Amino acid sequence: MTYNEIMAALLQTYEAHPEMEVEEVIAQVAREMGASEKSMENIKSSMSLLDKMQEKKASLETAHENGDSTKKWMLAETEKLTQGREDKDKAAIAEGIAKAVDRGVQQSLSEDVPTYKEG
Amino acid sequence: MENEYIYSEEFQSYGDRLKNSLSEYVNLESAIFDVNAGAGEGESESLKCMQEFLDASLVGDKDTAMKKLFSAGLTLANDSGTLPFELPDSSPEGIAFIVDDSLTHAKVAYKTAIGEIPVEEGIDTLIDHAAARTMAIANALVDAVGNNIDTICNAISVVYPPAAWAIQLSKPLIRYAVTRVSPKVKVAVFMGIEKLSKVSKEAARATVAKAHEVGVKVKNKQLTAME
Repeated sequence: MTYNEIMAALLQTYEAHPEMEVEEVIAQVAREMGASEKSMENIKSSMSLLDKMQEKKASLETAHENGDSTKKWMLAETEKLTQGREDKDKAAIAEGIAKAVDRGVQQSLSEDVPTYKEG
Repeated sequence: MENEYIYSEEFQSYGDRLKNSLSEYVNLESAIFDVNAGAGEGESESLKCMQEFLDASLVGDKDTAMKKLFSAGLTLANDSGTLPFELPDSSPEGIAFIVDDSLTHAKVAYKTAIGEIPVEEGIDTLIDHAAARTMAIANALVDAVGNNIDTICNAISVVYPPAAWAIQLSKPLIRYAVTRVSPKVKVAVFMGIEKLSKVSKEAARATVAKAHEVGVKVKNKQLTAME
């Protein structure tokens, strides 16, 4: 199956079966196309990470509703993440995160953006 | 101020890198032309779920469900060798990153184009989601690799793929997503992307400065604790 065919199978099955959880839809399509165990493991890992991203976004939204800034939220999250570690390790992790955010923001705002042309 | 040196090099080259990225943009006409080319192959049937995804809030089960479908599609096509573009990093983290980033961008662009959210708020949303994405990935990596500090730092620093990869991948993902909505919505997505791009340069500058500020503050705090 081509990429477009796989995506069509996933989206059409999802749309046709609103009673099914998205995980069931994916498992069904993957089974039908004979996906390997390794592929299934990778899909589960990606899905788990997407759930974590949603949790963090919801947490950030709540922080904003409570009047906190994104910066304050990130500081609190970094504190939680590095809790119980030695100070030099905390500093190294914080630096890694700061660089990753920097790069992530740059990419989010400078990816492949089409330029509209009248006519 | 002592710790500003950590980021000074990145600050200096940031403008140049952004300029290079901007120069690689394609125009809307060719993007729409590519989408319409797909329509001839019977691949552009509009799907309610895709429109619902664009209409849904930026955080929630509907949003995550669509991203899970796209991440599964990328993984399955990549593993079966039928992906029509290259995936230099097919790790689950890499795939989750690019899918979340691309589909969030498409949705924010759509909401901006139809006036649901102002452009400035759209930019802020992209920035906030990049921050939340980073924290999610950092948490997952720390959970996965345990106490090896070098491994954690290396993993966090490479989790964002090179800009060239993002440029190469986001286009087909956004393009595929908009083959499943009406032509009017399709144009709205691309017009929204254009609106966002017009203000993103200045916003990115300000926000990268903010991200640096967070990093410096955390770093200073940790260094103070060490003294």
